[in-house]
Amino acid sequence: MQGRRRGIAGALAALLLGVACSHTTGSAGDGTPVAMPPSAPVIEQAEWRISAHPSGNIGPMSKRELRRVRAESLPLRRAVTEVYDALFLDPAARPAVLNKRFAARAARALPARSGVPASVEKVRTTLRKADIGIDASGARRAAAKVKIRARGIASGERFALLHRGTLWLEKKGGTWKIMAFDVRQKRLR
Amino acid sequence: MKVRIALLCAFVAAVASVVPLIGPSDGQAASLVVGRARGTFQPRQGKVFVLVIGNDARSGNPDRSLADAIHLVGINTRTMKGGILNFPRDSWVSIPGSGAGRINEALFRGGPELLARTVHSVTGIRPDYWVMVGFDGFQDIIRDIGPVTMTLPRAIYDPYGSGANLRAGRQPLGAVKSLAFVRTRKVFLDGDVARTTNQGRYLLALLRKFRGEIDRKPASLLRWMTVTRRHARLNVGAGDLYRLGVLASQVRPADVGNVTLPVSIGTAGAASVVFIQDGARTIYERFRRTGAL
Repeated sequence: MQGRRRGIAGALAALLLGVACSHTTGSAGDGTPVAMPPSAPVIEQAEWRISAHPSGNIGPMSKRELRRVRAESLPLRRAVTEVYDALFLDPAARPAVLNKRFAARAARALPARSGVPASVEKVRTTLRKADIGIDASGARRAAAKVKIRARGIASGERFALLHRGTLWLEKKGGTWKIMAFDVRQKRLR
Repeated sequence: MKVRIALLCAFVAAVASVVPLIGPSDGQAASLVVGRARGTFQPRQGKVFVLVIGNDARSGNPDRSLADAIHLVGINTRTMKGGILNFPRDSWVSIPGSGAGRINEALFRGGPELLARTVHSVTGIRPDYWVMVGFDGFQDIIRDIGPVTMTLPRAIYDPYGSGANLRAGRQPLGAVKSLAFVRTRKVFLDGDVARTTNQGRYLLALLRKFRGEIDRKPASLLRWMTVTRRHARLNVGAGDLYRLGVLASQVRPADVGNVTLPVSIGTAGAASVVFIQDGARTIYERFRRTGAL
């Protein structure tokens, strides 16, 4: 009887540890694995809740316009998740993403302190939400409202923050780029 | 007992691995707080000027109409401050290549481009863009974007002129009331000067509404763009209009001065006109230098 109990206990422990380990793989919410810096353990992140919809139309849209908007929906979702993954989960990728996803002036204007610092040890996003409006006539411009809540440890100190961002995007050379932004980030208690 | 302890340890280890960071923050990570940061496009020399024209055509935006509303709107993209310089329509000026005349005649003589050149020759400030709207277009814009809230210091009743019948205080102005408000001049002692100042105030109320909507839903900028392009005539491409919209959304109405050119009443031949006073030069200079008033 005691041997059986030990067996069950062992199995449960193994199961729980297995569950714990399985969460360390992490994802960007869209199924893309997040590349974390070697120093930071990978932790399960909040699922991205993204809505992308046509905006700016007066009256019904033509089939062509609808097709264009639908075609840009995925690239836009990707642009937003890429930027925020770099700001919050993968500081090492930040320069490359800034270069790829921001217009030069906008990249220069983005404060180094937005998102988490490069010294982050652990971070866990508890909310990742974006609402993207895509220009109904042409789908070459878009505006996104993003909200991120995160907790973590940086330089041995715990932090919790709320980030709200408005991103103004334009499609340049086949790539969605942020040409302007308005970000507000504050510490949570 | 050993089994329970083993289970508890395993559970704690598992939970700790999954949610290691939940719990009250000690709030020491001040370096993570950025407050508010903005990045926007930077046009030449960090300033942008837009000439806003209201013509007197009842429908459409024909070239051969008079400009009843002439406003040079400036934004300094570094300080995010701005200004609205209002031109009384009867201002007697030199119209490039067309002799002297009231400034509103420049539109009739050469369309918005000539009016922009006239404003340039008067002020030394070259408008980067112009936007023009007539009576119908103006009302259609307000119908599409919704009423504009304004606070009137006193009631306006002008049954035989603009048709305005507006009470004092804060109120939403729909398409018809908005047009009546921006047209009213006969009931004011200083007539067109008061009207053009009120038009500037209306533009500020419009900016307030615009910012409120953008703040709630940034993508509403795309709707404002569609509405503007549909009902107004402008020399702004879609890309520039988008950037201008983004820029405007970042300017607080309180940081935008509404200044009407100082004028004195006079005559030119048989025509009753107003002459821009010398004091205007310092206004032009400040506006040209800073993009704000």
